[in-house]
Amino acid sequence: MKCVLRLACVAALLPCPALAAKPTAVDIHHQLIRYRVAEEGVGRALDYSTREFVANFLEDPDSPYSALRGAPPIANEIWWSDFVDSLPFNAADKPAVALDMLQWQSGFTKARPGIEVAVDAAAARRYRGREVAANAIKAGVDADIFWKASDMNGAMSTVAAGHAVALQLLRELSRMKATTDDDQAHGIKPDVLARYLAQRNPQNIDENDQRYLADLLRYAISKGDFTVDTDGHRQLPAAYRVARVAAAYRDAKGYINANGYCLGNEPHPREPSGSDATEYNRPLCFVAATDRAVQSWFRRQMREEASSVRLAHQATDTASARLSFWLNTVLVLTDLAPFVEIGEAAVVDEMVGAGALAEDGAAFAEDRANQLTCRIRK
Amino acid sequence: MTNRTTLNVLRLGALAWSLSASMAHAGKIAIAPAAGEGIVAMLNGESTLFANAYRTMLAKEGIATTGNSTAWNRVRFATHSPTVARMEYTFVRNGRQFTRIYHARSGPAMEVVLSRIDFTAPGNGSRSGSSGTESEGSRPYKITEEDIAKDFAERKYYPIDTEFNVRAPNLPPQDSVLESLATNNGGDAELKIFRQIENDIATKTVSRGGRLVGYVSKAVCQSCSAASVALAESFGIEGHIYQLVEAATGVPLPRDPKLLASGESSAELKSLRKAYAASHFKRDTVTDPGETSWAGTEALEHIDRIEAEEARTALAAPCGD
Repeated sequence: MKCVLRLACVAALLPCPALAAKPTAVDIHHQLIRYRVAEEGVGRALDYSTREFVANFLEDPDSPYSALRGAPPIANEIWWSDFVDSLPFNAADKPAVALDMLQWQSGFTKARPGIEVAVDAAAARRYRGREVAANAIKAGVDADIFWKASDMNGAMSTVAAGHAVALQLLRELSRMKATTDDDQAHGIKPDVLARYLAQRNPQNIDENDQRYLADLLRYAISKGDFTVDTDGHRQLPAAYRVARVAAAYRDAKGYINANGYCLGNEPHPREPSGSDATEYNRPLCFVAATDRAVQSWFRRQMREEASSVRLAHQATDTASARLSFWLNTVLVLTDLAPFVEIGEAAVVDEMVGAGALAEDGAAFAEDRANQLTCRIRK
Repeated sequence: MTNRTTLNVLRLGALAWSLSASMAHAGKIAIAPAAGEGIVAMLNGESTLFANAYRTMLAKEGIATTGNSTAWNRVRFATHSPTVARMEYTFVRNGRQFTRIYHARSGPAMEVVLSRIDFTAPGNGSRSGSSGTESEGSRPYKITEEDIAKDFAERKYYPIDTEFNVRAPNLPPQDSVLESLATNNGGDAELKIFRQIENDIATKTVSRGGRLVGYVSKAVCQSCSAASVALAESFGIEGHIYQLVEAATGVPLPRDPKLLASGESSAELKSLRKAYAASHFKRDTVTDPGETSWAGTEALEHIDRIEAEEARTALAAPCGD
């Protein structure tokens, strides 16, 4: 059943020929940077900001509900078709598939039931709601993990979302490994997942298990690229997965306003839909929002929840220390997830390491990323 | 009553088994190349742990506002290049199984590392000094009494040691079965952990005859390998140490698929560590991870700065060193 759902989900994201070609393992953004840097040099290839990159794909970059641009300028560049030809997969309409993959990986797509995400009645029951299911399924988190992480973290839904994605990453790692391989030799600990799912008291979650899960999530967020699940399908970059799960928890909690935030698959007309939509930490109509917009909401939601922990507990409280550990050393890394400058510097650094680019070439990309983080931290 | 008696018999049996096992076997720790996302994730976690200690120290000691770009290149290098190791020691006591995890990085105390960097030099410095591959722990380095004292004092910058997690600091080599091996490589991450385990056995914090599973970010050095033999034989420890083996530069890639995969994992870990250092160690921008502001004006200003960058279309002024 799960396979059918996932297949349907991916079918909604990609045209049918793409499914046949199974371009699942291709990191399209990674390939794009490698291609452009090799062709143009670092300075010319990376001569843009995150905002300019986003504006290539969204009709209204300031709106969390922006539609995709019908004809993105990037796809009209004279080098685009050569780049698409260079990609290591086959598909009937390769340019369209490549564009779909880039839009999806970069967080420009939504989670509308029946459009981007297949949600049937059984899924709606498992996740206890159509919108909850749409967000959780897009995040690629199984229902048993979704609810257990919620049970173990109560009101701290952003930390619960981190636990859920970390547990799911562990499940994917465990299942993908060849059965003959030694778990220990690969640093995979399936018993951590089993213990967590069997746990009834959050205070009894093993300290080392929490650290291991935090390591897995920190790694996935830092890598920034997509992951491949047990069915061989691509999953969103980890930071967007965490944000989508937190959104699902928010939808599951329900709203006290009369209209909610959605009307069908669209934002409610009485709610703001521009850049002011997330002011005062207002929830979004998450299924209609792009992954990037959900991540922006998550950033504020995480701070609201974290500030309430500090008010509610003493510094020496064990629960508070564990929550702070997740917030301060793992989830805070999601803040920079939407910025292309960070991941692109890593790709250029990798090219230097592989001898495909002179070391001087890395300086531009490194400075571009460093300047960004410096301005944010200053 | 019967159940309790049975339980006690079982516990005694397990204890006797564990003791006889440790006495019957001299112990052996196998060292092998390894690869995989699980290992990279754990070692990246170790690297973050030690980098965050530097962040805390720099922020608290007021060093974060001085130094030119050369100095900060060296700070970044010092935080992302040392070998890091994580070893899990599982032992049985009173019929119950416990696991204690040891964390270590190569090299001397942070104060000693930072004292080698000139934070008073004027000007902007140059970009040189950011490259290189040799970590502090890869070079022979003799740990002094002063290093040990400083390292001990720096425990306030690390998470508090618990029953299950402990940072392995520099320890004096006296009265150690590893003494002769620790003379010139006492700063190696693996040796620090071996010495801490030896110390924990001596203080009865852990039992001898346990099982060790270790992960190390670089190939285990010869003296550390010899020390693992001494540790295993002296205390009846069995186990495995999995090492990431860096691909050698300027030579063809290894044919052995395990070494090839290990080299790829090593490169991935290095890239992650370098990126973390690049985004967290810059003059005037170093923050204490334990003091992240989640509420009030400071938190809102941080969000505002992120959102301003997301909306930025124009070039910004240069920032920091």
